[in-house]
Amino acid sequence: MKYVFRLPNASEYDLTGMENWLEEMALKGLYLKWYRPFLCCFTRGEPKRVRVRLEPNPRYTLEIQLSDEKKEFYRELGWSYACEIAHNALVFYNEDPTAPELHTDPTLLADQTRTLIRRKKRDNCALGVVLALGAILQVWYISRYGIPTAHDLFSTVYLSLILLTGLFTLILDRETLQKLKWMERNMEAGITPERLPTSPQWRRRQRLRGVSQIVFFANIIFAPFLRLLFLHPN
Amino acid sequence: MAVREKGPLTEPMYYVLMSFLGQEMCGTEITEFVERKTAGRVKLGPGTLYTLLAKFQDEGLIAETSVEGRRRTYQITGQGRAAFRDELARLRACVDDGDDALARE
Repeated sequence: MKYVFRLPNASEYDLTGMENWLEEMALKGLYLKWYRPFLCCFTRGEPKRVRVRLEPNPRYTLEIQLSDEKKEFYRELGWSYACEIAHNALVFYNEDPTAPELHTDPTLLADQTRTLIRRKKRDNCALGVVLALGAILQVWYISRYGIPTAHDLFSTVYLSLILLTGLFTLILDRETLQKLKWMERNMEAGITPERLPTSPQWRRRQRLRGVSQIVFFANIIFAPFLRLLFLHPN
Repeated sequence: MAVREKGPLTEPMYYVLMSFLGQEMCGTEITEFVERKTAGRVKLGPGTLYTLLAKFQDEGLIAETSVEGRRRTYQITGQGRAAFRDELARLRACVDDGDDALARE
């Protein structure tokens, strides 16, 4: 089979986690072709040890639409562009171990990471507000109409499930945000943070976060259909 | 008052800005200039170079002069020259302070 599909093993904001994972996939001969929030498509190739780097907050690079000149220049220095990750980062592969790093100025990279942090905080705040509104609605409904009847029970249980999975995602996202902040602080001080391997615990939590996100969105999308099936089975 | 109010230039920023003095430059030429000038001490990654060029353009330190096929050329502006002079003065002050301290030792 030409293409292989996998669930992402790291959040799109977990830059080093994603880089580590993509490097491991390259060792298995799988190279990222495109990325969607819940699905990654890989093409098969020769298993190789490569360097994968994510260029965070690609405002500049995207604005100039990654011109041919720029692509060629990146390629000359050994970096081939693969794809974009959720408007947050561009993915580059490098097979030449002697080629310079994609970014050689940590202070500049800190600027880009800071913008990514602001975006993540904004996303988390938006999700937090939605969850808070959902919870208020739930409490208001129960206090006004009492314990839900069988007819309303479905909506209540469903809303609770959405709130719980959303809350779980939010809690795990805080860890990713802290990791980004730690990187940003180091780079701001001119230190390129040491690239550490992703710990199995971190990876497990990221997988859980992915599953919880899928359940969260699936609940929102499929709730009306399931409600119809549940309440009007015929 | 400093022309550029976003703090001192980092080493790659300083050399990239320096590369434009007296000449128009494109991406590859800048990398070669920096490599030659610093004898390989300062390396410019492609991500750093292009982010810097866009940042300098945003801040009005350089301006695009021509696009010929895949080649994009830039030149330094008056503001860029002033920012470079400011940085040079800051670095000179650092060196003088260091020399003074050593002389008093």
